[in-house]
Amino acid sequence: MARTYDELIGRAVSDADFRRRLLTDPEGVIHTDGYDVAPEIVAQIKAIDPSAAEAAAQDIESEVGQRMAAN
Amino acid sequence: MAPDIRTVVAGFGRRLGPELRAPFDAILTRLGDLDAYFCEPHAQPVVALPVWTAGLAERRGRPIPGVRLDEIVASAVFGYLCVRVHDDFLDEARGHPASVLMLSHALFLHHVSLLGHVARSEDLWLDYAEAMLLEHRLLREGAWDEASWERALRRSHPLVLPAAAVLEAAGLADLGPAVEDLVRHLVRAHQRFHDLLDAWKDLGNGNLTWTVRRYGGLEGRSVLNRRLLLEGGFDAEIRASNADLDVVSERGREMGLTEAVSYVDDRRGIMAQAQRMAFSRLFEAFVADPGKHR
Repeated sequence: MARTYDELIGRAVSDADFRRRLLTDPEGVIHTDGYDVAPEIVAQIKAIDPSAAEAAAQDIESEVGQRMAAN
Repeated sequence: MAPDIRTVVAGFGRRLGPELRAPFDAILTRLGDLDAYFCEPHAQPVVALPVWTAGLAERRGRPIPGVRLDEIVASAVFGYLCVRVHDDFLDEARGHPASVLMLSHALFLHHVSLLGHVARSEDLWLDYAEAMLLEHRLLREGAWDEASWERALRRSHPLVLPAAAVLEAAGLADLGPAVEDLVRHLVRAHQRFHDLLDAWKDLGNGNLTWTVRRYGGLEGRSVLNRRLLLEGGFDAEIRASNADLDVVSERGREMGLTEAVSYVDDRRGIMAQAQRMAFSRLFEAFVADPGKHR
């Protein structure tokens, strides 16, 4: 049974090896690992670039900014 | 049972004259609730390590007197506060130079007086001073390599001293090298993880850490984003931290320092949570299922 969009994103978030493969070759990985997702998803993953990653970077910065602990 | 940190620190504060008291109060105000500050999940086990070690000594039939443990824990707190004053001044130019010199002098003196004689104390504090100056220079120049990063890590090695004092008081000094090795790996894991989370802030502040340098930060934030978040750098750093935590767990199990093993499990949870946060933001914000909106 084909895997869904939610499973794809869940695995991309939690599995570092899969994430690396997906970002390198989204079409190939989605096909070989049996995900049934719309073509737009592949296009969106291909479009993730450093400026898109900026949102994640800002979240990390914000999280770190709130931290007060003995380091 | 460890002493109440606020009470210990407040007692020392009352001994200070007004000139020293002002910068002392300023740092306490900035750190907030000290009990929370030292016990927060992201914190290094500054206070916990001597308490864990005392637990180990007790399980080995060598309990140390509660009064002595209280002194050692207080010593850990004052040693840390001294380092905090140095760090804030060197990294952020926080504090007036004269206040920084005199306050850190007072804090260090109190730390040493409470710690008592510990065999490696002088060597570790000399390493600390050397490592702080090295790090301060390299953060401006950005000329890090693996060896200099390892040398700079020695700034955190005095963390082991309160635990070493407990072992000496318990007649278990033979465990000192194992605890020192555990702390060395703990510090590596901790520094690597926090340099990773701080990479964007450090770049913005002009602190050119080894992480910033290795992952292209000198070429700009966009390159740092790409190499850390899109090309596997973030995951590689988490893997490397976990490898050091494996050694900490192993040493903890070998010695029967079970609290360290639990601490490592919590650390792994914190790192995994940070990893999920970063990548859920990356994917969930930019990859939307068009079918869900039909």
